[in-house]
Amino acid sequence: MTRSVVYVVKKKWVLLVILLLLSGCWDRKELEKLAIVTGIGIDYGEEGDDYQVSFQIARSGEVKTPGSSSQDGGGGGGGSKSVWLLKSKGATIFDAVRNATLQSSRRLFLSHNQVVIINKEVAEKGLLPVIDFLIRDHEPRLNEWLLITREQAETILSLESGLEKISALAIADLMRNYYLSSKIRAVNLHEFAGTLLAKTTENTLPIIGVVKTDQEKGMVIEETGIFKSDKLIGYLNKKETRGLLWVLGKTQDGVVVVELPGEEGKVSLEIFGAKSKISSKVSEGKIRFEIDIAEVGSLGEQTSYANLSSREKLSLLENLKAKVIVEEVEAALKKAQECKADIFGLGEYLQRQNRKEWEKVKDNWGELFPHLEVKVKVKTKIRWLGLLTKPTILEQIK
Amino acid sequence: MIRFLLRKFGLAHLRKESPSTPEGKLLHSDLEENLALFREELGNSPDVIIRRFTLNLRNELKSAVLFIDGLIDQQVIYDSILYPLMIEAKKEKWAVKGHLIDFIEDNLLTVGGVDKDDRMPGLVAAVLAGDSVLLVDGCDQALAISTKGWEKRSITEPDTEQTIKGPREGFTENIRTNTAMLRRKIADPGLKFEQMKIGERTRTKVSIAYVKGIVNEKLVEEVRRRLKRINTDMVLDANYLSEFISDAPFSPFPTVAFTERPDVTAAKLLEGRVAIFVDGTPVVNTAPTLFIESFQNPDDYNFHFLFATMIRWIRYLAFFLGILLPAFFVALTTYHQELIPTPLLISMAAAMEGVPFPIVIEVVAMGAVFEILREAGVRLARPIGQTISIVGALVIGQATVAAGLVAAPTVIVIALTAIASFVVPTQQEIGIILRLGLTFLAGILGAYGILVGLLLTLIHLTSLRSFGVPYLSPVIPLSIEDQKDVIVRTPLWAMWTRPRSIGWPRPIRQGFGQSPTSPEETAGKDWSRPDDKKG
Repeated sequence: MTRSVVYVVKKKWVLLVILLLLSGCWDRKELEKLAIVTGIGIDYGEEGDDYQVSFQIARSGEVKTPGSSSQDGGGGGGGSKSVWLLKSKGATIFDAVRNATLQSSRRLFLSHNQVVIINKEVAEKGLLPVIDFLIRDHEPRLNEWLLITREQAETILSLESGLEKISALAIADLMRNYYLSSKIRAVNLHEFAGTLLAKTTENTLPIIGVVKTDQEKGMVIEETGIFKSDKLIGYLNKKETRGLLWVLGKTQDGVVVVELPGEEGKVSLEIFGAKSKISSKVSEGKIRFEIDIAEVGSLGEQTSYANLSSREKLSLLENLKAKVIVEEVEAALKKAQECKADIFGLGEYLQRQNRKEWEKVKDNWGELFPHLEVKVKVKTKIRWLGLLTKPTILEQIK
Repeated sequence: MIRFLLRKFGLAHLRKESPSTPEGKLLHSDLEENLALFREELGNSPDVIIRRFTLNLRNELKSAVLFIDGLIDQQVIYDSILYPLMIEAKKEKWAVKGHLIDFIEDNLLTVGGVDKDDRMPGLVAAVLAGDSVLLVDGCDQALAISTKGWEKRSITEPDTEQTIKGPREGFTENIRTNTAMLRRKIADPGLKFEQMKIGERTRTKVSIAYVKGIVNEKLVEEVRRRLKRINTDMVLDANYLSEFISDAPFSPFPTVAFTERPDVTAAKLLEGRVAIFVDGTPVVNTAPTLFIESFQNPDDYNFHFLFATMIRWIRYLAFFLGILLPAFFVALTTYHQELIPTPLLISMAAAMEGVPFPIVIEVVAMGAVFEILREAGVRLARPIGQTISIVGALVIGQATVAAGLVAAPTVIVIALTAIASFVVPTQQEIGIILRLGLTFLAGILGAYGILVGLLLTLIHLTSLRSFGVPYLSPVIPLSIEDQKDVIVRTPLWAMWTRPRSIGWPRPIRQGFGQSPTSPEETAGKDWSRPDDKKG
């Protein structure tokens, strides 16, 4: 190597090393200096215009796995100490987040936030002002679950879950398991924001409340809220919520209870899956929708003593189930039409199937929706009977 | 660069000149003068033995045999030199024709190798190599008689390259034994050895081995050229040579492979490579070397091909784990906490509660501690060494976690990395450097730093060549038919070609389509090898 080449090579490496050392680590977040926020609750503050935001922060030291040597001494085990509820006021949500550092020794880390619970008064005034931060900022993720509550959001966040140490994680799991009952409408921020951008479809969000037993308070999902754009305007009860889910095709599991005629007892029919097909027809200037629901299920439980495994009995049960489903869907439709909110996405089907017609009516959809003709047709099938055919008793009623 | 530095500091005279041509003093006709010459060269070492005797052929002649005790086989000297010259010579009246030394060489010495020489350097070198020199009063020539024999290690299995199912022979320190072992593996007359002596003061015998007809002649030429230009004092080990002849001396990736097993060496030679034997070490170098060779283990060919394929995948996995695990751990926990699943994050935060140091420091420090433990375990005598390694690892690991100096996840990561790094032994050198570099980059720039580090490594690897062969063949440049021994180990009956990048003079090594089949299918088929016809 000649002298000049050696000189240049030396210079380049030195430059690179200096570059790395001087610029590195600027984005470093030390793990133990993070306050991991698992739940956010939004209420109105006392002054009326500002917000009181509650943060449920996981207390890592107390949420320890068994077997690790305890170095923090004492505590641990009890659910109340595993989380810290930090309440902070601010003119906007972002302001409240930063104001939280006036109380917290650690920087709030929002990337692992599971749920956002919003008080119903805030929801009635409009959700966009509060969720803009959640979408715009890079830290919170779009898969957070949104819930509305009639109580104060901080009350919900301070509830203890029966099983989990961190209640926000419990609420998130509740949402994820919506299909087990199919009576919960679980919506995450991504879906909510997407529907806000739709022309004709309206949003729905679950409503969480408190259930009181003698000693404890627990959380429960009660109803579903109907929104017009981003404002809460109406409610669907559990039956109507499932009606909504039937149309959306989100019922994958759950129990439909039918009553046998002649007071012979009740039968629980389990849902194994359902598909819904929505078709639009325009005739004589009127828009008609037909919702076809095809469902498959099994016989899960019977309180009657009769042998229900014959084909005729099963057909009877299928018809009863179909009737129940039709009732639920029609109840949901009625409520939605009262609120003039197309929560089923019928307008989007019209857009896909009958573009010209949709162009004519799209701006007026809210007014048109209550006057639409919607026919519901349900076909059910009972395929399985579980492990029994006849009830386990010697005398059966045929 | 060295020249530049030496000139700078006025030390140019220190640069070694090429070795001087072997001129030397001639022998005299007088025995005593000759012995004096030898004493001048060899000094008064107690192991230089001069056995004087009287040779009684025509007339009584003073003679001497000079050798170095310890390097010779005493029986040969007694039986084949002293006995014939002292006893047999007296028995009959020999009709001595011609030169006396020639006569002795022709008729009296019952030994295999005899050389006649009259110059000192050659004779001194011969004595130092284990030959005995016969000096006769009145002759100005001497005979260097081959009498080598010394204490040797018996053939054992090499410690570092053990197989479960294969042969247990390993090379020893004697080059002749080693070449003999190789000859037993490759009985082909095409196996050629070329010997040279490298190292001014050690005069180490170095042999190049190759199979003529399979190997690329230019490769042999290049190996020869690189070895010839080595100008050094000592060659004590195979690595001394490989550092001189490797393509990229600053690269952590080895471009010259080494092995202690004759079966491995034979396999490599039969693929078209060149092997370099070094006297005094059981380690044999092979060139050219590819990256994938470190993942190929002789045991792979002793087991069922499916099992061998899976074990190979584990080796690749272990290699990448060993390099990337600490770096990813650092990057995720320092910069990208959002990528860690929430329950895991919470328990990791719990485990790292109260630990004073940033995670980069922890990982690097624990890595260093582990290397110290490993090195200490190697240096200590066997029973203590193993105990200290285990005790050290357990106690130090447990104690530091309990004391709150280091977090438990860090210890787990380091332990897993360490164990993974032992799976592919040849990668230990590479592993440490890459691991350290990537961890450092991860600590500075997070996942982006790891990406940059890997990219730089990849660029380096793709531009690396080993004796002209691209280092990442047969993956880059891609040779589809050579994939049969890279990620999977295809059955032996399917490996009918040699690696294209190395064995191209004679690409076909076995008949095609020899998978075991029923007799009906093989009836009438021609199994002769394609190049048998070509000749």
